[in-house]
Amino acid sequence: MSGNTITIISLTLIASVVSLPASADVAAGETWQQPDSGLSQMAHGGVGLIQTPTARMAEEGSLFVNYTDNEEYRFWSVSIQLYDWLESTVRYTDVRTRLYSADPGFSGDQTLKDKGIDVKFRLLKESTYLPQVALGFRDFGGTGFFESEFISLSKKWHKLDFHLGIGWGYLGNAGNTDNPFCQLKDSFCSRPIGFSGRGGSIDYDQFFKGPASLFGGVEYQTPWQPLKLKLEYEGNNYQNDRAGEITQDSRWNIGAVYQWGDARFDLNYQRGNTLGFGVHYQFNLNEDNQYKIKPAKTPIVTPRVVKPLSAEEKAFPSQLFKDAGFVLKAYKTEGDEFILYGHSIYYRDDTEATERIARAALPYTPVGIKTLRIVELSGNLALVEKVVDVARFEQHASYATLTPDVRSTYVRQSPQQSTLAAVNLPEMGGFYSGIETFWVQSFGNPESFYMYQGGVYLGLGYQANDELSLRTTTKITLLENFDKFNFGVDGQNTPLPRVRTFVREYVTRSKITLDNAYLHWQQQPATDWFVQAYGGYLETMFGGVGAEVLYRPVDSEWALGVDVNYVKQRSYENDFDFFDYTAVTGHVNLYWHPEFLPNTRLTVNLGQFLAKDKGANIGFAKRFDSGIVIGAYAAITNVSSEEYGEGSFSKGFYLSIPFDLFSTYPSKGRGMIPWVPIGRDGGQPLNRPVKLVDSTEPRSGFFD
Amino acid sequence: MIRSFCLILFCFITVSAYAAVTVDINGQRWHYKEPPRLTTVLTPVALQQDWYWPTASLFSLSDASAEAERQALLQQIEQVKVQQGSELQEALTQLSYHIAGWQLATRRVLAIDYDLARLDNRYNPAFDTGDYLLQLTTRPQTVRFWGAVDQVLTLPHAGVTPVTAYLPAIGRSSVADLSYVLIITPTGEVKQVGVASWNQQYTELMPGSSVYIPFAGGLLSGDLMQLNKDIAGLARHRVK
Repeated sequence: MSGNTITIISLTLIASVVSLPASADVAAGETWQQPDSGLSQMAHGGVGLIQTPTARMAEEGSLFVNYTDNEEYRFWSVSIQLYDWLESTVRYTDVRTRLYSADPGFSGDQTLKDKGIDVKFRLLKESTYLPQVALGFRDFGGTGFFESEFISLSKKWHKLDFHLGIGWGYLGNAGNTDNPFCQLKDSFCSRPIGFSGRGGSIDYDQFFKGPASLFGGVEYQTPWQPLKLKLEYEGNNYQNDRAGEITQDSRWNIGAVYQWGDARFDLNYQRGNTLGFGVHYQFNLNEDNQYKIKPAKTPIVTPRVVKPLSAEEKAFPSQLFKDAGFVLKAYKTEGDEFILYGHSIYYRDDTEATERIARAALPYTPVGIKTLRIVELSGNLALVEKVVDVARFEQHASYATLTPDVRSTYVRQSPQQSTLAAVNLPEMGGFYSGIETFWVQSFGNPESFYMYQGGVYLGLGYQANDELSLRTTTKITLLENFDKFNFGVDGQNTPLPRVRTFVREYVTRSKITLDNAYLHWQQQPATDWFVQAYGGYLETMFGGVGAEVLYRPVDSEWALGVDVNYVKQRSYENDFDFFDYTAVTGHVNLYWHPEFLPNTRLTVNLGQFLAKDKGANIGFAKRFDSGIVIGAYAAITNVSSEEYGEGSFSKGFYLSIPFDLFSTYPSKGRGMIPWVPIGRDGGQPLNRPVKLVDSTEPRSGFFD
Repeated sequence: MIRSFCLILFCFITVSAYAAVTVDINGQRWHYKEPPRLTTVLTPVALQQDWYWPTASLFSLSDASAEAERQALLQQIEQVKVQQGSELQEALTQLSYHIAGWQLATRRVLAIDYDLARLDNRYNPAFDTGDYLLQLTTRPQTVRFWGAVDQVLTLPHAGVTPVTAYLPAIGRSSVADLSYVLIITPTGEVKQVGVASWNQQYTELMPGSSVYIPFAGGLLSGDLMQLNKDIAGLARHRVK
């Protein structure tokens, strides 16, 4: 039923003090008057009453983690307010009256699990006479236990919030009203049964069809601020539930929600015969932050006392590193310009990093210098040049103006040829090593709901010169329950080459495996152009050769690139052999930060995938003020959903979290938590060991 | 009043030839050859009275942008007016007379607090070259309501009281938007706050706040909404 996809959390190991991020509750601090308890979640996750959704939207960036229980069902869900007009919820359901499968050898005594995705769009904001209106789709992907569509209205009157909605599908099973669409067209009068494809696709042909019901209710904010009461009338009759027919003594449900800090507890009485409860934790992705222990910013001394560089050859780089996290590679005085070349490694906020570098450089900046140029390197790539007006910077950084604004004293631009030609940067070279931790996890497996594997990636490499290096990564497993796997590759008949579904064989073969080993070459032929080529064992399942070109101007809305690879499938029987399967795979890659969607990156990868299927992978990523990025992608290729298998097409979600949020010291690393509901063989890209869009990240600073 | 203000201005202009920065503090003029830091300016007057620092406001007399903003706003009112009903037209005409009579100077929005300035460099900026007006007051006892009202009203400030509690006493006119008010805080910010049954927020007023009652428009009155915001925005530059 549910997929057995492996997802990986890879965490860079950073020696720092780890603590939990502090959630800033600014709203509550503004007045000592305790605010009302705000919006709360329904049993399925998402803002709503008990069983039914409302038109209300949480504050942008709100994230709720929910667990609710009502006898037959348990729900785990995460609901995120991506924009102020869009709410999205993902959910796992545990059906306690059904087994995962009829075959105990396959899934033991595990109960049935299902996953679901909901979205809700705000169509109209509430105003004096008009209600807030929202349109939503519940459980529209997957196998659709709870598939429904709804339109909801909400209108507030002082401490009462009234809600009325009409639902189709699960929310409308009782059919307490006529389906308005049925009167327009006969095909809307009955709802097709089952799901199309192999589940997991969006069943547009069922939308708004079959019986419809009105539902609604009211929320009351009691004079005791933490407590809210709910009364609800639902439109489902529980005759066709996945848990079997459930007795419903009443369509009315009542509930209470108690808020305690960031947590909410709810207790309700449903269907006139069932007690339910829930626990919810809320935080805001925009406001999440962390206390920091940072070195003081280098003070600005006026008039400036210049320390001669000749006598301070050691002190200068050390001050830059200590105060600004800047690893100086070279510097040069040219006329009235002072140029610094190096890597900025600690400060995630580019404005802060630049201010710190300029402050730390000022005491060493000779008199008469008008411009400070800071060239930010990544490996041998010159990514950004920041041109600082020294006099204005000095003025703003020393608060010698009424409204200081350090950001206005420098511009970011592509490194100029003249700037780069001013020095010969020292060649890089030598051996290096690194370590990263990883966590592989998979939800909803037949053997055990949660399966995991954890350990370290050990990186070893040799840099021959600026452009050429040999890189290897060894995977060492330290902790796992993958030994519970009771089958390898799944038994589904698939006409596609098995490019990803041998995953269980790969991850269980040995505690120590060679994840990748390849030669890598990269160059920057022109200031906005980047190229790379690589060859060897490129990832767990494939080896071969490939090349990539990327055009990416500084702070541009657009970046465009192409990659082409010829790969051969690696054997899962040992570290070095290959299977016979080969493929040419590659894509045209477009990255776009549209102006109309703030803090958003859209990605389109158009080309041929590993199974030689052709199509596009569309990606969406939203960055919140805390630095947390939430992303989703879907690959639509010329593989039909029947050929694809369960899930119908390739899709996934991920959460990228800056380590900075967990550390009291500034740092730049990120951890990625992917969630791939079902992974099959169609629409699967090669996991290229290095992507130029990642190595040129400071060019537009989306992630950091 | 306007005449004495012009006189002050004239004095500034004559003295400015010798000083980089001139600051008028509650009617007393101070000249500085070098741009002073905030503490330097505050030190001689800071302990004279029990100043209420949140209402301390600084205006630049060398920057004419507030005046330019006023002229643009008056034009904008004329443009918006023609599309409205007669009652609203009349109210907007009244308001534009009111606005034309305001004494304006360009407000510099920054925290002015003697203790904070002495403790932390960030709150002790240096003045830019030019002429300034610095107004220090003790804690104000009132809040003022204006805009779409029958008459401008000054009410005693009440502690621990949301803005909605003042509203029954205000004669909001028939062309007022009953859903929102715009609060101009003495610190120089503008906040839009819901006050109707469907959007009420608990917001207390700072003493010395001025509350602008916006004009209501129909469903497609984007112009009027922007106008309301611009009127409240200009009010920040009012010299008390």
